[in-house]
Amino acid sequence: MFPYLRYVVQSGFGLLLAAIGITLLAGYAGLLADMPRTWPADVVGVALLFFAAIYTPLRSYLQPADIVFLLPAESRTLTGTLIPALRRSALFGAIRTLVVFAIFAPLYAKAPVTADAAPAQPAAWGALAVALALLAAWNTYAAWQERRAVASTARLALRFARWTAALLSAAALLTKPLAIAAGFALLAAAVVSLSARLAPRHKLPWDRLIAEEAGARQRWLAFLGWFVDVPTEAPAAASRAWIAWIGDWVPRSRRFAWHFLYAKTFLRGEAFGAFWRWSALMAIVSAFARSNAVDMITYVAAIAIGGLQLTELGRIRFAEHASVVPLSPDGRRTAVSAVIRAAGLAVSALLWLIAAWPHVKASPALWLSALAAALLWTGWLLPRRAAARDEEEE
Amino acid sequence: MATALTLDKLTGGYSARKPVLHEVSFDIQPGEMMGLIGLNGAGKSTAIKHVLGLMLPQSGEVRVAGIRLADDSERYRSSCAYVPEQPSLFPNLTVAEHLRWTESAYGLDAAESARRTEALAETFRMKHAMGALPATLSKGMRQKVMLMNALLVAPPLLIIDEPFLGLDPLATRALVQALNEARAAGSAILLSSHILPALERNADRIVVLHQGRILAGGTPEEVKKTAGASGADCTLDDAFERLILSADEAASREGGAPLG
Repeated sequence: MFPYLRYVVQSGFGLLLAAIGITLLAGYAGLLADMPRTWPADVVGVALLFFAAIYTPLRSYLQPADIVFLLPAESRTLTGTLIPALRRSALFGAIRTLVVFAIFAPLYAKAPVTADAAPAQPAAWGALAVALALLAAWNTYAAWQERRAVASTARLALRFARWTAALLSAAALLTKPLAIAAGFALLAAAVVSLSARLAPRHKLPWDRLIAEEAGARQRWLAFLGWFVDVPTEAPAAASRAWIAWIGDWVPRSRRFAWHFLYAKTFLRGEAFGAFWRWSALMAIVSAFARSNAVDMITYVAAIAIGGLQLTELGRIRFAEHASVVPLSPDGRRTAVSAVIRAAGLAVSALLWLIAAWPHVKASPALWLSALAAALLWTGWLLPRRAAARDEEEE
Repeated sequence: MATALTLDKLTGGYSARKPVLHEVSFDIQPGEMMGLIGLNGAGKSTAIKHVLGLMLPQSGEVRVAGIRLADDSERYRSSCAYVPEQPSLFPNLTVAEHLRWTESAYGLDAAESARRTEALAETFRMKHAMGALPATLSKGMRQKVMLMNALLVAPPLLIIDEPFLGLDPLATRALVQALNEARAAGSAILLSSHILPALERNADRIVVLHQGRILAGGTPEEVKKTAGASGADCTLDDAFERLILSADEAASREGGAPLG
């Protein structure tokens, strides 16, 4: 993906990232200069370091055909390719955690909530940093043991154990004396690692690695596809029983056949996955913020970016099967617009209720205008845009 | 009742300068099963694509139930159901949802469709998999889903490309039974397959395609007779081999190169 990165930067995404970075930097400086007494440095620190440590990607570059050609060379594949990849992953994980800690450290030292727990001597700071780096590196090793587990229940249990150990260890390292915290972290890691040996394990989990590699490749290509034409692969469908039933509400008639197909495709596809996660995140931020300005910015960002994600539905092309049925191809555009409209309007209304509820009495004109704009964007502009793009591409 | 399928001197292919099919003519009557056989590259898939309207003829005509695609594309498409060689399912629809979509696309009656869906799920032993997404199905099961969709429609013309590939023995029997029921109900079936014994047992007539031309056509016995292979022990496989080898010999004598 490195050859495509320059297109990402050229598209203006780099500028957007820079703008976000500058905003965050300003906020960071402001927080350092004027730290609230009750700012939850412990919770924030644990969350930051936890997520930095548990992220353990592994690019194996294995493909389905490798089962045919590489299986006899399993040991060589392990020692020659995968173990070096694991070492790199552990190293990058440790570096990533150290960078996050370096950024967080001034806040950690200054916040009244954590000032007493923060190290006093440079050597102690160094020791804490090393402990956090080792936590991240251990996570890479533990994630590899997870991948090797034969049963999916064992993998899930090991992941839960790893995350719990990482969370508690990060909390201990930030809030307790280092010696005790390090001992606890060592014990937690040992317990999880020994537990991994109890369940049956593959020497090399071919199927799991091939599936992970396909997922990683598909996600990168989908991201790069926003900026430049790259070969894309059809993403795997997610069952989503909790929401897919909504598609059954589409009337059973020829007029709505395309609507049914697009509704189900949307609800089980990549576009909906990104859309609902983004909307849920914005809803959570809104629910906790309780600030008129933050809630308004969150609402606008949610609807603007979420709406653009919805238009991805218009890019879906179906295989030959769909072209031999007695349905007019023009019906597709109508169906795409209808699904985008329904999803957009529903989320606009729902997010507005969450964001506007505490503030609408105080600023009714502002919030009602925001709602009207959101409904116009999702109910009219986006569906038209998706239908028009579909027509151009045809 | 109109002829289910008519190919009248169909010439066509991917390039106007090098057509794949050369004046191919045959027809299929309602209730008849026609086997389309030929070597790889003979033009079977190209012929099927022309029938489906995915390719347009360079010359000649294709009519389904008496209709040309250009005259009434919706009625034309409503008159065909197609099962490709490679199962081609929508990744985001379950088995049951595929059948529901087919019901909507073809404007089928919901109650009748539900009854047929139940019967097809029973016939193809797919009742337990109705809620499954295609990614969780084996290739044979995906093939069964394609067949169920086509049989649900029960149109004037059923086109099936390599139906027996990937099916277990019970599913093969179920398919033959379902095809016979479709024929009894008046559907015509165009079946392309390399499994010649199955065609010999079940097809009413056979068309042998070679290098885009029809080498022989008729009942299995007539095809064997044309090939000079009409002995009691002679099979359609033997007849097919003889026809192809004779054609290649004739082409060599005339200075052309054999294909396949």
